[in-house]
Amino acid sequence: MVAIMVAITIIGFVVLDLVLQAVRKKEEIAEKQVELEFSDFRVPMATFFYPGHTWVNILPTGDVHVGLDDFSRKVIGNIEHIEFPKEGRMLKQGESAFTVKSGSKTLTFLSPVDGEVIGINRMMLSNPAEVSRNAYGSGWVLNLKPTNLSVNLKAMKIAEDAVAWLKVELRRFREFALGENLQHIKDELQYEVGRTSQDGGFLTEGMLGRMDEEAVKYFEKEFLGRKE
Amino acid sequence: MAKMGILIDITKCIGCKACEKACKMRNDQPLTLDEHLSANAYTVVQERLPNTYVRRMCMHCENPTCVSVCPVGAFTKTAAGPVVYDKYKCIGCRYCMYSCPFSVPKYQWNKVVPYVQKCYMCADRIEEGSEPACTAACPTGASIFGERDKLIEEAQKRIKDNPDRYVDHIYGLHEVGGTSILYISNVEFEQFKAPFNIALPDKPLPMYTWAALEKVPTIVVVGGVVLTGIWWITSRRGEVEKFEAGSKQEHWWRFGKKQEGVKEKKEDKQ
Amino acid sequence: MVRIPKITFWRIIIAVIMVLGIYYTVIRYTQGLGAVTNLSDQYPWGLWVAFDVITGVGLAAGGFLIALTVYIFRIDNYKPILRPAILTGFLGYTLVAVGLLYDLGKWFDIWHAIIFWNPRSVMFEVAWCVMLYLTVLALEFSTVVFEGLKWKRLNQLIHMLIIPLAIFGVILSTLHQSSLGSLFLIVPAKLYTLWYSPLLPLFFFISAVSVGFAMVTFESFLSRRFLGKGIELNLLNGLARVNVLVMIFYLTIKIWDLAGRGVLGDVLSTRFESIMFDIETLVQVIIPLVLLLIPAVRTSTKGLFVSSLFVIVGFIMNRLDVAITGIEASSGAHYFPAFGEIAISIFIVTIGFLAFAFLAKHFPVFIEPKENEEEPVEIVHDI
Repeated sequence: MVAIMVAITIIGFVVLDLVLQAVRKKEEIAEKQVELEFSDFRVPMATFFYPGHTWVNILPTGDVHVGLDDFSRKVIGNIEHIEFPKEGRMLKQGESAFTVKSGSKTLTFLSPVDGEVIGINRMMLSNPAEVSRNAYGSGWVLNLKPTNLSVNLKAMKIAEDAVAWLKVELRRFREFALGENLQHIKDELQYEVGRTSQDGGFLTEGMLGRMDEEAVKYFEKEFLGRKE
Repeated sequence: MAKMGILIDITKCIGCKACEKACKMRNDQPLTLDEHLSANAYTVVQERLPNTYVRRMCMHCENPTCVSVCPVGAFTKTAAGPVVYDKYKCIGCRYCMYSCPFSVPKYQWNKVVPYVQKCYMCADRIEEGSEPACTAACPTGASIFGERDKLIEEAQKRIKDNPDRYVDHIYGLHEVGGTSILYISNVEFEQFKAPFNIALPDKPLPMYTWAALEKVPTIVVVGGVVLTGIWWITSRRGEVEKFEAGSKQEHWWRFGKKQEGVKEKKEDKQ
Repeated sequence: MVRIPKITFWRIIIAVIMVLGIYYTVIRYTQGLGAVTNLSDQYPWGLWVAFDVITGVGLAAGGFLIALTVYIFRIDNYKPILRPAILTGFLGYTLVAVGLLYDLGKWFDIWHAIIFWNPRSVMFEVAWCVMLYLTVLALEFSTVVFEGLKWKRLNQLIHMLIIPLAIFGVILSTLHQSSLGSLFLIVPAKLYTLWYSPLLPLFFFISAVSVGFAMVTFESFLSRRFLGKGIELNLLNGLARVNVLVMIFYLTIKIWDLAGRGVLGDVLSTRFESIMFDIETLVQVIIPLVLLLIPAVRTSTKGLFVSSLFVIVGFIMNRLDVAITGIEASSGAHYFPAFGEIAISIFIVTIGFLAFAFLAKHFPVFIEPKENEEEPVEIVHDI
């Protein structure tokens, strides 16, 4: 009897929590957003940042790894699919390199360098936890053999410059998220009034999912540098 | 000192409860009539069958379970036979109560500082050369005190002399390796119900746990050696991998140069 | 800005548990065990011993298993699990000690086990192993605290000791997990035949291993649910695979033991104990085994969660059956815990959850230790 009582108590607590979770999911989707500390935006000091929110690490072999920075990663949230370019394809800096899909939304990222695609990272999809822990290492997306690196690098920021640039980007994003031109999504986007413009607290995980088509287009143009 | 004991002859007990009263007075316990052993009753006389009285008390095992299970050694079996309790040592885990095959130790459940309570066979009186209060008070000789060996002889004699009166079983002679308290009866003991109806092994209960406990040193030594061995092998493997990785890196440099060479040749051809 | 905690359902529940827990704690320590518990001379061991202590030690077995995997077998993949598992182990054993302080009649004399020795007592051995292992866990976990506080010297010192500590911890765990089973070897006449076996120590050890893996899985779901931090699915999947082997082994020797003692037929008896035994075995071994043998279940989040929950609940039932249900018939009495006993037990478990949440929030519990990574440590600049 005692054993049954304890078993029922434990299962009762678990089931109760599952029910509560299900109810809450329906009621207040917004409240479930994970609020991020600003220190979640990492800027490794040896990594080059491309204005289209991709990064470049130069490998000892002379090849480069290209990946998504914390900013774009956070906007996307859960990465469901990545459309990689075919291996062997030649990319130009500023040309569409790969697209990331989350929910019904897709974002196109530009290639930060000229070069040949020599590898793609399937782990991005198979092991997202490891990838998000090591976003600037094993979290690379493309492996490129650059052909014009010295020129390409001039368009990129590194170290303190990258930090300053990212701060500006975050400020711009805040304005974008609260901006009047996007009045219709303003209510959905979470922010805390008390925070300064330097703070990243307003950027919540997976904001992409709550943007409409127009906002996505605007975001791609303004932050990822897409031309059309 | 010779091993002492008590022989309880159920056929002679008239249920007068003189032993209970003597026990309570000896131990300054409230003079109540108790049905069961409790923290206030070290011995009780129970009418287990019509007109058949069974006196219950600590059996004072030869190889006592309580002595073996107590983590702080609060119980001791004295040379004279009684199993005594040191209330200072006790921490109150109640393993003795849980494991006693006769369910003898009782507890002071409603005290802030509770102790285990049980018959101690008036060990101090025995030390002085006297006998326990209960046997001294017994008017019919149903409980008699004496050397255990002599009591066994006496019990065997009674059974032999009166085979119609007694069942041929001295309860406590072999049960859990023997007890200082011995019972003889005119009825099969199983009919008296718990604890007499529980089939107890002749092997002392502490031997059951000892079988597991005696393996402890072996587990420590073997476990230590095996685990250290595994760790040594795995860490060696790690070092070897690191070393090989290091030499591979060196190869890579050379290889890289060669590759450059190959490229140059290709360019030459072009 | 003062933050007022949001009132949520679970916070209300926790508040209620806290109030009840403190109320019954006061009663227990001012009026004795009898005022709070349904314990009696026939039933000296109840919910506190059986659940808070005997079951609690088993549930905290994850710590030694993962320490064994990472430190001794050097399977580095499992490093991310190491810290949460050791923290759970440490908290689990601390709570066992807290449970003991409630249950021991002379709780203030608990230290007597250090000075008064009785090496023939299983309880003595368990007491020493638990004491020493709690120290080992505290030292193993101290690396996390020192890292959080940035005390490098002390951290280096502990790191030098970590392998001997891990080996010592594994031996201690093996000893006391099995010895908890040996505790019941002393009651051959009292414990129901389906549970009483000379192999009790082995059963207790193997089932502790099995539940240790299940607990690591279960905890990682809990931390994902409440702390937003979790462990990768593929690691949990690996643990589930090992657990399948452990459970098959357990079931095999269990059947072999029952058959060997000639009591296999009692499984089909309609006695209350037999039915409890069947339920327990189904929940603890058979159902999760079947679930985990299905690849689709083994690789899904829900499947792992449900099967580990089965193992845990079944394990708890097994311990309670052995300690309480199994001796009911021979005790001649009936025991069901008083509300106070249940309240205190839930109170202790809740304290454990809160302590885990607090430590996981303020110390680097869910971060992989960096020093052994092959990649150069990147200098990260926080803006």
